[in-house]
Amino acid sequence: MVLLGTAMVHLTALTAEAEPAARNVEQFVREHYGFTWRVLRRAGLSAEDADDAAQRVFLIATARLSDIQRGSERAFLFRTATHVASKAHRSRRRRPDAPSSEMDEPASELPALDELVDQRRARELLDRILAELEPEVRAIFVLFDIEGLKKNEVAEALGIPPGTVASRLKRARKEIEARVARLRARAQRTGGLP
Amino acid sequence: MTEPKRWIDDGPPEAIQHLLRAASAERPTEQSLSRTLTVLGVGVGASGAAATAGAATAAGSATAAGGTMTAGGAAASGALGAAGVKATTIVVASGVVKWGAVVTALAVAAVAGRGALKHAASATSNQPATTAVPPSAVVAPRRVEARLGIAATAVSAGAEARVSAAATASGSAEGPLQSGPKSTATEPNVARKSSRGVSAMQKSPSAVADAPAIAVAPTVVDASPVDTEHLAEEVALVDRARGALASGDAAGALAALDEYDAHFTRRKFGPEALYLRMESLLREGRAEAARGVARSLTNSYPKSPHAARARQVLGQTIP
Repeated sequence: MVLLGTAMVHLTALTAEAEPAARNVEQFVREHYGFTWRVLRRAGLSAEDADDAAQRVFLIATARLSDIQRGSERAFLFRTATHVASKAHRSRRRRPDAPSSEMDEPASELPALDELVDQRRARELLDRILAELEPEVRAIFVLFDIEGLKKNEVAEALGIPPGTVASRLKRARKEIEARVARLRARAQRTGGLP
Repeated sequence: MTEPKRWIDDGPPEAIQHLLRAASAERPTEQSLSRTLTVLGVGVGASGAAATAGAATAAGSATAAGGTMTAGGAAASGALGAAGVKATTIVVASGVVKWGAVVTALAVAAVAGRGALKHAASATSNQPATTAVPPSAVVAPRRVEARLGIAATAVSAGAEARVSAAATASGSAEGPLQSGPKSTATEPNVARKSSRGVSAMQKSPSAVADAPAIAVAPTVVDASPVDTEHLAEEVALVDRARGALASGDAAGALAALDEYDAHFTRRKFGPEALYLRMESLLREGRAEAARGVARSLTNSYPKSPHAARARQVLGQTIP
């Protein structure tokens, strides 16, 4: 009976404590899910694989939520997502620079068909270009220019001094622009463009 | 040191602008988010719908319910940390494990259902409309490359394929749109786990050896082909019971469980229903009745994560 009484007390306490905390977890996930998922996509995972990987990322992150400082959430999620994406690539025996098919494009909030296809192709091209960049250069571009993180957040996520962010960012942009220009020139030579 | 300007605000070439906008605009599906919330044991209201949708279309979801036996622990450990609950006693920790397992029951059903949703011709959810792209769309990619100034054929159709920057093989632009749905290579993992779960449950004695102090209908785990409509109803009722208990409404939980027992003789969520009943009775102070249900739980599902909690209620040592 004593044990039963104890169990009841604990169950009551558990319910009282866990409910507000669980809501915070939900808020955390909702707030950062899109960011994390896109980071996984830009790391070369297909939409479907990004779904699975995002689950893993948030299982890890929510288990350590109390350790994550406010304002450092995206830095933590980025590092975790990079690690999970790397493992996903290894488990599938894919090269990390493999851009994935976007055939499983999300259907929610679909734009007009032309625009959707347009964006799909643009993302495929971008992922292909990103895959050719060095990981640290790619990461800065993704975090700053695509995800809109502040310089200090990028620095924290990558474990580099804030001053280094600007120089690497400049390098990333230069390389991306050069690759786009190269593709354009090649396309013109082969008559692929109007 | 000043903050650098975003590239998009700094007047990059049009092609770069387009790439940046396309990448920033990409979003995961609501279903993707719901699944993650469900696995984490939060946002059940939203994810319940996803689980139900998955269950309603999952041809193989008889195994999904069994999957909770193996997946519950992992999810629960996440929920434990996530909720920030101090596991100072085994009782508290095991309580969380049970919640995780129950919620995971729904999650696994949803995940298992995903494959069916993606490939079923009659898919009714908001799953990716991959196969719905009309053949006429195959001409569209050309416009992109025209805008970007890049040949359409520079992008490979296959996920594994590598096309050099110089590759301009004709017709490859049509590949992605004409190929069928992607193989769900990751789904069998869930299915395999689930199959093991069902096997374990089938080996468990279904008869209740010790008569419970209250009437508890025999618990039968159904491994027969799924009646998807019933499965969705099962999910909804168990979810209702869990929600009621979580909000302190033990009587409401018991009412939902009574309804569950009355309506379903071949249950996919037998252990979860027993567990919820046991906890609801404890909450109401009906200790003897709770012990009866605990006995049913340990006899019928001795290997389930719920059985550990039931043994605690019975005052037995956890093996």
